[in-house]
Amino acid sequence: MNQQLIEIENLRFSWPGATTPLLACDAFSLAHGEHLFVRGPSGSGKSTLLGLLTGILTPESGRLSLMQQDTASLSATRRDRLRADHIGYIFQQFNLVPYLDLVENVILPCRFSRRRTDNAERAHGSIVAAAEYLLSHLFTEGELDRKAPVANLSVGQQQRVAAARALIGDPEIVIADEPTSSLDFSARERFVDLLFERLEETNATLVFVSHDPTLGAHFKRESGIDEFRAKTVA
Amino acid sequence: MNLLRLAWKSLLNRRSTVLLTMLTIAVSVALLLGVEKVRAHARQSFANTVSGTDLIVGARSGSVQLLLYSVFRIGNATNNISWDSYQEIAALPGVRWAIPISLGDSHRGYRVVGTTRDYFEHFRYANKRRLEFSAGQAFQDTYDAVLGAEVARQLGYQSGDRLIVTHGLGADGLAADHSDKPFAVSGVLAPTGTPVDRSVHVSLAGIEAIHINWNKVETDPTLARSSSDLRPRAITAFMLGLDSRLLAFKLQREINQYASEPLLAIFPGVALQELWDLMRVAEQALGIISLLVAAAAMVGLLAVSLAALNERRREMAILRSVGASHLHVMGLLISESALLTAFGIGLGMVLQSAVLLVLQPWLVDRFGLFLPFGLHGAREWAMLGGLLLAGILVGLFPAWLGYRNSLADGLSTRL
Repeated sequence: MNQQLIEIENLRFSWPGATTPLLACDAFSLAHGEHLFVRGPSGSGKSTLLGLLTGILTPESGRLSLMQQDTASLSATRRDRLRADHIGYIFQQFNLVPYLDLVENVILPCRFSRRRTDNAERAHGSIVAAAEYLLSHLFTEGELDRKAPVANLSVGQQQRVAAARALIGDPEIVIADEPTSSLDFSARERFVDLLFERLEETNATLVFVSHDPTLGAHFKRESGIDEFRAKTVA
Repeated sequence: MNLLRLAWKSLLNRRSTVLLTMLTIAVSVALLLGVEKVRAHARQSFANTVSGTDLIVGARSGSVQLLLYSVFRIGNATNNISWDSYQEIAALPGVRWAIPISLGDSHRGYRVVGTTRDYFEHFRYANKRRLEFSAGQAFQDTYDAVLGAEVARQLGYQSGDRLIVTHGLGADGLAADHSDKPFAVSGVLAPTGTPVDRSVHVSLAGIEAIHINWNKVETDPTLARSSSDLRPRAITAFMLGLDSRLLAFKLQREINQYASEPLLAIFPGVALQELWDLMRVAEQALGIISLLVAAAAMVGLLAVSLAALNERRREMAILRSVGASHLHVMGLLISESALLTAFGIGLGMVLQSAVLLVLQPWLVDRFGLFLPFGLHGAREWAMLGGLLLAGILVGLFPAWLGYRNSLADGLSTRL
């Protein structure tokens, strides 16, 4: 069974007012369980690509399917639902909602997705137990001060809480946008190791974007952002 | 859904500005409810001052002026009316009772009302309630006085106490005291919540007696005690009770065309309405002020929401990334506005009750105005509902901006 979770055919995308397309990709697919490293500096169309992959944006022409569904054919609400149910997302930094506590931040996707709530409850009994399970694997015992506001956590800790949030309820796709750029070397290694360990368990597909080429060594599959960019004709 | 929970936590996170905004909403609510309460009950207590009287008759002037001095004991009559006219009209067929009133003297700031014992028999207030004595009885002797409840309480008088009546309405201690003729308290009336509470009632004979030899150095109190000399020559006004309401129109016309002196007869209800119309300007001014305060509170709410909006672009991107739709983002912002307004309204109701708790005794004392606790009418609920609606509408603007931001930002936000 060919389980392609992300498929692109003849995609073109340009922002309104632009004369030439920013992104162009004729064929691309990512299968269940695959881990892809996308290498590229910021300002290279990376945000646009991520917008398309999360269903925030839709292609101008061509086709982009998430979970075998053509995003352009779905309403904005349906795309939001698709994202809530199937995609975990990690930002570069400031991932946490300041007025929610640690566990509330982790279970936030379950508030918007029945499916991920069900998954978490099936596996762990409750969404809070699922959050605790993930946190216990991403942090050493006693490392986290549960009472402290989330803004007081170190950046590395915040990124790991964000990883727990992206993983809760076992979404099929995890998208990470420069998740380690704000971390020092040891924190970066630790983050990547822990993330891979967790992904192993759920066999989720990963799209990991970074400008740091040294991280590519962790991945079996790697591509440059250029492969998604329209070729500028000289 | 969980949006309300999120909205609540977000508000808690910004509690200092939120609390201040809530407080301004609370103040406006307290003001709105307070003004409405005073309006409703002042009108009630106005209407309660006189009841069961068909006509009030005085010297020709304005109907509001006649009502003010005869019933509210405010201001002065321009002219007196003759005792003969009174007797003639009181004896007309169809007149069931007549109460003469003679004004012009005072006791320590309280008006002295010269009248007859019919006053205690026939005068009605509120819902046709009659006057009752809390102590003693009606005046018997020329120098007896019956005190209104407030006069007795404020000045500490009891039955048998003596008091000096002052000529005119000036302060005591001046040469205008009728100190040669002290009165004795024969009775005290039960509280009525009307100007009766603030009146000292004496007989017409008593009024005449203290004015005999008035301004003469040599006085002889015993002289005045012979009642044949004490027939009043003039009174200020009188109230009429008729056998039938229908008769009132005919009688009013007759009195207004009375040949021997210019008289004016008014229907108390009509004059009360006229008086109330005059007061309406003040009532409307108060209403407008409280509306302006409410509007200011809503502008404050808008300012607080808009100020926070830019700092919250990242928060909105996070919510979008975990699957929140634009509708969720808008819903969150509107919920916050609605929650804040709702709590402001709640706080305002508490505040209003607290202020009333402190002011209630003073209002009863000073104005005879009893304001009960709680909400009483559809108007109040409509006001509160309107304010909540305004809060939600105010929330629409930041919600719309938040929607536009999240549309432009997607998942990428400036840091």
